[in-house]
Amino acid sequence: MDILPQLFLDGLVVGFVYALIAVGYTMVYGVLELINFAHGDIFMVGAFVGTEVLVALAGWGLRATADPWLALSLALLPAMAVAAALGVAVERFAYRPLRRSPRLIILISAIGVSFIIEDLVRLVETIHQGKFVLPVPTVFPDVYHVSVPGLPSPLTIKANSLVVVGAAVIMMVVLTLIVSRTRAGRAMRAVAEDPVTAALQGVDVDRIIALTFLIGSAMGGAAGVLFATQYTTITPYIGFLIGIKAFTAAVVGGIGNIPGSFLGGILLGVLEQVGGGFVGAKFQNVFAFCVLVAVLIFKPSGLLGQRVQEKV
Amino acid sequence: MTSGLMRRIGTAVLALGLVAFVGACGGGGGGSSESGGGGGTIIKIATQTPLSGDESVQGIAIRNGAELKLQQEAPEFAKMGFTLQLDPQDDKGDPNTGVANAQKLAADPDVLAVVGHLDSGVIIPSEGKYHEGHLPVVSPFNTNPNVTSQWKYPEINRIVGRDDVQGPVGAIFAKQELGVNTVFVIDNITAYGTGVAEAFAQKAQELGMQVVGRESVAKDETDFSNVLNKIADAKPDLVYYGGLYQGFALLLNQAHSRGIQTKWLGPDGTFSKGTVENAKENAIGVYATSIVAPTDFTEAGKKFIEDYKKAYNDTPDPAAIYGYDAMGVVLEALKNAIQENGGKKPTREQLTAAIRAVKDYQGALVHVGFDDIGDNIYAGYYVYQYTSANPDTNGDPRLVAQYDPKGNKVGD
Repeated sequence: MDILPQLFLDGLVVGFVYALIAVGYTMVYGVLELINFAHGDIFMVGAFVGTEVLVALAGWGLRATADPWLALSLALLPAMAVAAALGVAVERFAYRPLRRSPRLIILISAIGVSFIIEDLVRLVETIHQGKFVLPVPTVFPDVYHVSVPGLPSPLTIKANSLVVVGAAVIMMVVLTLIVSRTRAGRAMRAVAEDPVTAALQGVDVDRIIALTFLIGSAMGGAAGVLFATQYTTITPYIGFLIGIKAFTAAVVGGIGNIPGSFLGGILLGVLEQVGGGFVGAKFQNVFAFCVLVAVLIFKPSGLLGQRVQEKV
Repeated sequence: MTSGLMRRIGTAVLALGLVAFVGACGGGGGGSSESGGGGGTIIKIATQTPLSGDESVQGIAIRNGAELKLQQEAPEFAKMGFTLQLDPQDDKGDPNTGVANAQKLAADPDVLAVVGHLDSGVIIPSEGKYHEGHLPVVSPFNTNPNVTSQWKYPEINRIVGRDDVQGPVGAIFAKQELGVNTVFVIDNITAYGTGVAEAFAQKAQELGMQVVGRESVAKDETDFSNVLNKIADAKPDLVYYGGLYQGFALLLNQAHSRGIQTKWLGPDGTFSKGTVENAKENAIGVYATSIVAPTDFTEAGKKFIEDYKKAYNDTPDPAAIYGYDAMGVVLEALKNAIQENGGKKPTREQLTAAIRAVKDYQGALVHVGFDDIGDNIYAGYYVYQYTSANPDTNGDPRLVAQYDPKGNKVGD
């Protein structure tokens, strides 16, 4: 099939976006054993904040294409900040008061928060812009056609795709360093392992959990901006399907395991694109969720996950 | 301390919710309770369209159009001793919600008729509930053949054409006016999108065009790269998208940013302000088949645009006038039914018969006469091309061809 290499490339790009979101699911699961269903919507809020910044910049005469790196940084920073603040707030007000309740209660709370965020964004955008489906200004307009010897047709690579992958790799490296090398990262791992013992050792568990939400949500917000620039239109409802897919990626990689979520995201993105290419795009989602089912049947702990004691 | 804090937060959230609620009502351009004068017998006409979610641009436009017509006619019904009320329902573009709402409407004795829906995939499963409740429906927008042909319920009527004509009209247009030889067909996996795309593809083959690709992308999917790769590979003369404006705009934008150049054609679901608003420059030159004549075609159409702008402070989406004229048909039939019933409130069965009996109603734009299964015998088909990226004028659509109810070209 002629377009296989192209499908693979596009799958990599969307896979990196999944990976960035999956990290948020996996980190929260690691410390709380909670599936944070509002995370997809935090991603969506990041996309909206970034888009609003790009639109505002264009309004002030700075078209994003004139200085794309500056525009992207100016969009990323507030998006990450707002997403991080929102993530911490959600944890503080929707999850912490329920931490001693049965898991199901927190799960319901998460789904409720998800609806609230979606419709609040819709409300705010409708008042502010008069519409809630926002077109995203182009940041990196270039398209490269790369001829690879041995391939029948040249590969099409959007400059924006390279930026998405580059930014995702940088963020993942930074995250890995934070978790493995810093005191806060060690505390995070300790809480994930055993919160009671960690508290006895002087770790402020509440603060560490808040920090986990902060980091995971900031990455989700960044993923939102990258997604918006790549896929050109956003609505308050984009978080749901992508959230579920990122969650799938986290499970495939082994939920609770950070490198696993990178691997799961990229794998899912590629499988979905290539699979969709062979059997028809309408089965793209079927493909993604078949992967989930297969992993749950044959290796329930995920590709890189270890068997953890059942706490749910 | 903590509980005090929580209480204050609770109050703040409540206040926020209240602000949101008031804002939503204010934005609606006058709630339904304002319509109607004194306390006569209440007659409710419901609308069922998506008022939330990403199809709501068209859904709200239909609701507003219907509301406008109802408010304009309310004084006349007040003289007859009836208070007209609009009962707007949100079907969310979701079959389950649509059916649940239909059940609820059927159970409310004040509701005499429904104007709805937007999605064929929502009206079709809801029809059973309407039929059980003897509740007549005038569809402003549903073009799937099965809407009227599947069960042929006496309650279900539509003022628009059928996709088994609209799809083929698109193919005839592509062949005869654009000289297209190869087409790539995409649909959004809904009753409407798949139906119209299939009808297009079939006619395209009959006319000797080659269908070089046939793909489906779920309507809530945001990533079209898979399909775009296949388009880039197949290099068709024209891409047909069976779906609604939002997916179409995404497709146009992503195709453009990938450097794909071809002609684009969509059915009436893509003929919306939303396409222009989201695809901007990428919408210029794109074609759409539609089931409505240009809104400024008739004097009544021009007046409708003025009234709508005055009431909602917004340019009407092309969908709005369908809501307006569908409500017009309902109210016309209601008047007849009241007269036949000696000035008393008619039963649903009487109104059902009166609606089906409409043979020659001239709305602001749509000429309506129902045949024995509730299809509109005057429904025409039109092809437009966007000429600008200005959403306030709906992209300044230019009428490029016109077809009669049987799909034969008009004019030249």
